[in-house]
Amino acid sequence: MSCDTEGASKAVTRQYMRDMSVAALTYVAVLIVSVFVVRRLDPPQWVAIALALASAAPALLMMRAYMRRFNGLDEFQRRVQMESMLAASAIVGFGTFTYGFLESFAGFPSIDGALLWVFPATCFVWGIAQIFVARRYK
Amino acid sequence: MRNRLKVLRAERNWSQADLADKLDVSRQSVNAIETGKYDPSLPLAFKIAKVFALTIEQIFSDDEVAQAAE
Repeated sequence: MSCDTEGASKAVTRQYMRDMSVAALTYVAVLIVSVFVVRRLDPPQWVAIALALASAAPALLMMRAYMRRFNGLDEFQRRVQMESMLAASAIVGFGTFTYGFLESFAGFPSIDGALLWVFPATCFVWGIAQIFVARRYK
Repeated sequence: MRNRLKVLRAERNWSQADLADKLDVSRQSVNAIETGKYDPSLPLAFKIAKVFALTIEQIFSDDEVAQAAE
C-alpha cells in the first residue's frame, strides 16, 4: 500500500526532473547561440535584445516545471517549500539591498552583471534553506 | 496542539508509510504531525479522523485544554 504513495511522489519527481532537464538543455542551447552571435557577429540592437529575452525565457520553463511539482506536493511539503522560499527571498533580498548601499555610499566595487545572479542565487539559497526548514519539523 | 496519532497508528499496527498512503500524503507529513511539529489543516484533520473512524476531538486536543485536564 505504501508503495502507492511513494510511487505517486516518485512520479511527480520524475516529471519534475524531465521538465527541468528540458528547460536546462534549452537554456544551454539558447545561451550558446546567443553568446556566439553577440560576441562574434556584433548584431544590431534589436537582435541583441531578442537574444537577451530568448536567453531568459527558459527560466520560465523552469518555473513551470517547479509549479507542476509544487502542485503535486501535500500541504506539509508545500509549507516547507514556502518557508524556504521566504527565507531565500529575505536572505538574497537583504544581501543585494545592503550591497547596493555599500556600492553607493562606501565605494564598494560595482559587480558587472550582478542582476543576472539574483535569480540563480535565490534558487541556490532556497535549496539550502529547504534542508534547514525540513530539519525543524523532524 | 496535541494528538494521539502515534498511539492510534500503533494500535492498528500501521507504519507511518501505511498511514501516509491512506491519507495520500508523504511519510514526512505523518511524522511531522505525530511529533506535534506540524498541525494539519482542517480538511486533513477530517481525513485523519475518517481513516481512524473517530472524531477529530478524539484524536486532537488543544494544548491548554489537555494540560488543564491533567
